[in-house]
Amino acid sequence: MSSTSADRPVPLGGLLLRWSCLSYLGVVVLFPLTAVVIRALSAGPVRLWKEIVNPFAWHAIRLSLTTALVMVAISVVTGTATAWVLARYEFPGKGFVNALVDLPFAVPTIVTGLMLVALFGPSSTLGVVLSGFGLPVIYEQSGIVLALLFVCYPFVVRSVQPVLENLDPAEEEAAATMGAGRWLIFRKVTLPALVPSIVSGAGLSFSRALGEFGSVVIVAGNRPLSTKTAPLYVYGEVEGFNVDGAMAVSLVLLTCSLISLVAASKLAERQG
Amino acid sequence: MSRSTFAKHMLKAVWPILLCVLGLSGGCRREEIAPGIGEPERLTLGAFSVMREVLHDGLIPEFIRQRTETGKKPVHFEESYLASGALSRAIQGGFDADVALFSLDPDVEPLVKAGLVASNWNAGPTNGHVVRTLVVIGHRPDNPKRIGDWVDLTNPGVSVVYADPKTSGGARWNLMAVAADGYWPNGVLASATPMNPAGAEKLLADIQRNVSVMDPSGRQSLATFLRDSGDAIVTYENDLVQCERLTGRPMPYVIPNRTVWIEIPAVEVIATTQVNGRSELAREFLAFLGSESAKPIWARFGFRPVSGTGDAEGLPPVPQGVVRIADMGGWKLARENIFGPDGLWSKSFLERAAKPAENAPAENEK
Amino acid sequence: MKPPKPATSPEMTWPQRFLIAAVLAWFGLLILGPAVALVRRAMEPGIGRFFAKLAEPDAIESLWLTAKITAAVTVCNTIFGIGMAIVLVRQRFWGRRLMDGVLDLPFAVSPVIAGLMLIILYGPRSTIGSRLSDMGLPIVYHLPGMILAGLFVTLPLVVRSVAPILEEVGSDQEEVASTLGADWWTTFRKITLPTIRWGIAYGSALVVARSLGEFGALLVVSGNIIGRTQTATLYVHDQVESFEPHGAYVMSTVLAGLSFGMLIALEAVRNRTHRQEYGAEESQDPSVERKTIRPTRRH
Repeated sequence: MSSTSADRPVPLGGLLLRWSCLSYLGVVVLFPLTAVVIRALSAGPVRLWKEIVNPFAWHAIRLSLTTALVMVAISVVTGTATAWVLARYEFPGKGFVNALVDLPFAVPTIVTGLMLVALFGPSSTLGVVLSGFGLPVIYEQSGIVLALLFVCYPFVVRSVQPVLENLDPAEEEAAATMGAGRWLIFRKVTLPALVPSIVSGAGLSFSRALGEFGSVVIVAGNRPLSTKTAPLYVYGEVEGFNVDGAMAVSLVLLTCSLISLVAASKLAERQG
Repeated sequence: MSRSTFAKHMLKAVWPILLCVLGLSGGCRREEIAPGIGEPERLTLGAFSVMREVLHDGLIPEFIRQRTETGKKPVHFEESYLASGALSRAIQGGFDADVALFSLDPDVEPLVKAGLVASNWNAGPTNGHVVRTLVVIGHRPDNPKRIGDWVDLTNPGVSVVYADPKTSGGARWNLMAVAADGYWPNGVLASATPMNPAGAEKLLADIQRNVSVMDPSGRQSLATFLRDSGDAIVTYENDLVQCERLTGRPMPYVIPNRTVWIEIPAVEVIATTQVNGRSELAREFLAFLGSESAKPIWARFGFRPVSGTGDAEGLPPVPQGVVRIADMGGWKLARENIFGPDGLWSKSFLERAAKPAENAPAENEK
Repeated sequence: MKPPKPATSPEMTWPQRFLIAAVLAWFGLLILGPAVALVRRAMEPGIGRFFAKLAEPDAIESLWLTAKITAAVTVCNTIFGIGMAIVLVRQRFWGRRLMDGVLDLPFAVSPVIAGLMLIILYGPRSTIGSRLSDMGLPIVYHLPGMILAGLFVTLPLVVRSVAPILEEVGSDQEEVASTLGADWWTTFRKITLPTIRWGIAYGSALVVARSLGEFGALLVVSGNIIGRTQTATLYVHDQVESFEPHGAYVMSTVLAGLSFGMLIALEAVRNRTHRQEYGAEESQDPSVERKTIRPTRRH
């Protein structure tokens, strides 16, 4: 919305800035990434395809996609609710909760795994209770979702919260004076305004979840065809000297998360 | 005004952190200066993770002690402990280790191929191995699930823990031991009878059905077992001995009658030693690892000697049915027959996946 | 610019209470529970053992290395992050869309692959790597490689915190300044910087937190040499592998505490500064401050 300066000729300093930034981006991100893609493609499409449809790889990819989707579905609801509560209500301990939302960013991911096992693992009270209900969490697929939920918790909250805080209350108030109920106001007035930020938060969570390694490796149990996700599979293939297999699956992961990021930003743009 | 308050508050928030960093740096520098007298020789040592304690707490101090006794220059060791495959890749990628200890021979092969390790590394009387240990089954104290042999791991309700053979060299040894029992069941003399692949596949698949966690490394697998997951763990004998020593928790285990010798290769990375002029020191250290004076230290940490029967002080006797990897056709064959895409281990999964009873892991949760 | 009054009233309805309770319960289970479990395990053997563990030379050295990497990464990515945000928002050029997309790539790449990628490109046996190593600048398995890994992983954070603010405030003021004859540096210092400073602070804080905690890429790039390339997270990993869970919990608590403390301090400083700048009568309502200055972390 603020591209008024676009038509003016860029001064020398601006050009210098642009080129130094672009070269920095090139050296740090684009250049190494291209090297990987070239390395991956050098194996040939047939080989890559075979590596992807190999039942172990395919199961891992599918597992990663489904667990990430389930996580996003839960995270969108809980994240929006958290953002809502933080933005709209006053309650004791609010500042504390607000600060702790960022905790998953601050905790190294292996630590996340250890923490979750300590709390939900088979030797913990909670774990015993849960498996008593026939719902063992750690070392099962639900454990993967749990780890992803923890790791991605801040994304939706932090993208919805500022929008909610900046939202003009006039429309909601107008709807209220017209006699609309709370739920109707939320559905018809508030929610549409939040959708772009929810979508972009969801896209980020999804792409982060697809690549998550450190915490999942500890809580998943890592069983092939059962709880081995795609990043764990990639790690295994790298260690097992099957670099082609690792590259093939990484390419799939990379494509999926790129699609989700781009789709989210497009969707958010269209809605916004 | 606004910027100055901003800066002021920023400073207020930052100064404790700055102080911490300064304090830390001061602490570090002091330590760096202290041993810097006499300019020691350096040796960079890469080893797979299981070797950590025996090297760090046992062999390296002894080596340094022996050298100072004979009046040679002191040695400063730089140690790196990685998974065996990762170590091999790191050295291929240029990690400048002078001496490397791997979990299994195939991790040395790419280094030989790249010219980083002499091609005759395994020509000596011990085939390049410095020490060995056994694949065993660890169980809970008092053995509530009555585990005595491989077949007991297939019982319903027994939850088994072992590492992932994709990422862990140790796990490949473990599965080779299972396969050996499947190949020649009931103590049949190994060299006299042909292998029975169907038996191995069945045993591998039946045990895998009871597996609840497959960690990326043997050590993490044991850490999982320590966190009370699983009724039994398949791992190295020395690791259980080591674990008991470190944690003080009893780690009882059984040595199945049929198991394999885990033979640990140690090599000099000539690509590094020649550049750095450390060849002599590297060889001296390698010779020390295989020497008589190192033997009691190895034994104390649960390892068995390469030569002789393999019996060591303080460890249970070696059972009759122990085979070497060479008896099973070597690693090349093992890789194809067991871990390859068409190998027994991979097949055991796929057949299970094809059957409707797919949710097998869910039912053995205790 | 009047902020919306939050729909809070002393008499909350039951559904509202229920919603708050539900959110708090979820939050407690998912975030607080594990955090408390971690701290409890770290403190279990007593506070003395906690510090004794931390004073071990391996632990100190790993922390020091992490500090060095974090400092280098934060400085580089903050400076270039600001630059990239300005270029991205204020300039129109061919390839801008591409740049926008490439910026997010580090989020999408699994850290293990990021590490592998650096070895392929800069490893001592690659063309570039061997050249650099001959020139006395070894990358992989040494500090520069670990810094590169950190740079890659944290690159988007500052840009994505600063760019939305730049976009939102528009370029009117900057243009006025430059028509009044201010050169670009003055314009930047007097106009642009003050508006984006919280975005910068927040983005850098995230960079610090993320590079303190980076594990996967470093595991591949570092070689995990004790005392040389062992960072604090690799130390945690090592402690797990040597049956020393206590050491792992202690170091984790320290790492989490450091980054968490930083995020809290940032929040506090921001609130206080704002109260001083905007006078007392407006700041009675805490949500006011946040509304105007919290940088939208919309990536």
